[in-house]
Amino acid sequence: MTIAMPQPDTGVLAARDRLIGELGAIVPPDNLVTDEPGLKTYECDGLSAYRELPLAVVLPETTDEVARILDLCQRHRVKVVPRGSGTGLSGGALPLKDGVLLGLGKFNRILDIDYANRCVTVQPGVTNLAISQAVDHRGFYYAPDPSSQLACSIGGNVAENSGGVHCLKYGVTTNNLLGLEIVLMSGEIVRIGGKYMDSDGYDLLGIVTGSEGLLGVITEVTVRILPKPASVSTLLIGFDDLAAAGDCVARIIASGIIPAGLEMMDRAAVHATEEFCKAGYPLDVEALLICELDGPGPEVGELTGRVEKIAADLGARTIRRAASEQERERFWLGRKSAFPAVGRMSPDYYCIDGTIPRGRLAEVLTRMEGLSERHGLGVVNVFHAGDGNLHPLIMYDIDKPGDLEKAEALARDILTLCVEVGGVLSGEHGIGVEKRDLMGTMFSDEELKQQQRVKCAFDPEGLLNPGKVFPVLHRCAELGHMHVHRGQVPFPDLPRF
Amino acid sequence: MTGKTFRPVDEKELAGLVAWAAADGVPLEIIGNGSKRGLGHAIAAEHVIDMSQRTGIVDYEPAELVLTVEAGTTLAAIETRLGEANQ
Ligand SMILES: Cc1cc2nc3c(=O)[nH]c(=O)nc-3n(C[C@H](O)[C@H](O)[C@H](O)COP(=O)(O)OP(=O)(O)OC[C@H]3O[C@@H](n4cnc5c(N)ncnc54)[C@H](O)[C@@H]3O)c2cc1C
Repeated sequence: MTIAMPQPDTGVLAARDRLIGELGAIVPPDNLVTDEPGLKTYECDGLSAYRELPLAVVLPETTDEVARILDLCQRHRVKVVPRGSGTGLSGGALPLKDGVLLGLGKFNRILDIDYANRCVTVQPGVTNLAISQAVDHRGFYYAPDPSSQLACSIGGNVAENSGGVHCLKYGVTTNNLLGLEIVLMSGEIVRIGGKYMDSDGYDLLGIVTGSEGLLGVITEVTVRILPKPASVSTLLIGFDDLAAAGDCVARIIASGIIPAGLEMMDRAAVHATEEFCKAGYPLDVEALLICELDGPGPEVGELTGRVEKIAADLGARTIRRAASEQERERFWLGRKSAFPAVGRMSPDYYCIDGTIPRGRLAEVLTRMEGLSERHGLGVVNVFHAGDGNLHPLIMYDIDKPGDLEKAEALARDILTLCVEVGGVLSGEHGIGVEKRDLMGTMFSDEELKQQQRVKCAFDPEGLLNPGKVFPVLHRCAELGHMHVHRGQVPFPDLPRF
Repeated sequence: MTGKTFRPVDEKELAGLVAWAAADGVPLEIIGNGSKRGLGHAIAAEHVIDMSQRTGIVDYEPAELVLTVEAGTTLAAIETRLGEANQ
């Protein structure tokens, strides 16, 4: 482990047994994990290079239990790390040695399906896919579709503001979210938004979405559902060079067409997946695009023709339109198998997540090749080209001394490159511990302090998921946050400013 | 109200105004074209900052789906410009 985490609190470590006793009074025995083999299940999330055993794991099933657990932990000054399904790729759910891991996987019932208002209310542990499955028979679905949708929880999706292949047209989590119930570290239960659009006042829903478990524990989520599109058309477009593929993406969007999904794979990715699952991809291309258009039949037909024309004008080597649902599935098969395909080529891979302006795609991919050679590790690119969200997969071998450090250094260089060309550190996987120490490449000290003041308003003691997102933890008092206790400021008679 | 209406020409002037008002505890009302000003109760502010002159498209990149405009730009002007690119 090469990342520094907050110093464990020895007092909390020493009082472990007492804490376990008190947690045991809140949840049934099956929902409290304290033995080492049990704790090991939770030692990491999807960023498995970093591991730690938590003090204890507690698995609440009601909002009331969550509130009592947080209140207890705040009173004993015990840190809490929320966890959904643990598929996060930036280490946001990495346990703390002196912290309670709050697992929300068992808190997983669908509470309400409201077709008239086109929304669904669920508990945080419900998986992303389960929402779509619950409304499928009526022709509806929940639009954001992370590749991990079979496993990841909706609470985790909100905490990371997750995206997916179809988010180009339908928006990421934040655009499909209507309401939340959250529990603050103090145990206070807060409801934000609901079954309506644009709730009054400040955009608290926006603040909590993507807050990576640092502001509150999400205990209920209301999302919008959409009717499934009447028709879908999928194109496979191959180019001889990356620049032409990048231009094609830019031209499609600039011409006013917003495909449902627009994905790109580089040569290495095309070859890796073709070998893995025989999707029938052309092997003589440098870049392959999958462009999917959806909507009413006539519109889709017209737009598909226009995309084909744009691609042909740019000299595409292959342009194939899926003639049947089976063929469409085959086009996607390779894209969807990309991770396991790379997993077969290399003992370990590290998936990173940066976003760049679309116009710089070719330049960034070319410079990335240079970085990959310099660090001596291969990189495969499969990504959401339509929104400029890169997912370079760095191949390494954790058993080879020095390889992980090399992969980390290469990842840092790639992410710094993204910021340098006007992009951002994360598209959808969050900052977590992974990109925490790179925050300074994007934000000034003052900007980071301002963000931390928001954190202080929700969690003044800094007990919820500390060590994530912020490279330096300032105490809230240092940031000029004034603690208002039961509506009274300390020394009310003194002039303040 | 007998207050003044300020029309700051740039960010620096605007920042100066706000800093001055904050330091002296003077409430400000911020308006654009004031099209909904008649709704609700009047705002108890000493002075007005009028942003309606701060118009114009700073940057528009259709391929990036990104538009940056000055705060006082009218929606009609924005829609006209976007329409040129089918967006
Ligand atoms: C193979 C694979 C493919 C993936 N593809 C995509 C993709 O296409 N798009 C994408 O965006 N992501 C993708 N991811 C990343 C990951 O699946 C998402 O970030 C997902 O939203 C995490 O959900 P989770 O339930 O697993 O959360 P976890 O990993 O358990 O937690 C993630 C973060 O959320 C916090 N958190 C979790 N639940 C709560 C809660 N109820 N209240 C407060 N905080 C909470 C945690 O503290 C942590 O910081 C992929 C991951 C894998 C392994």
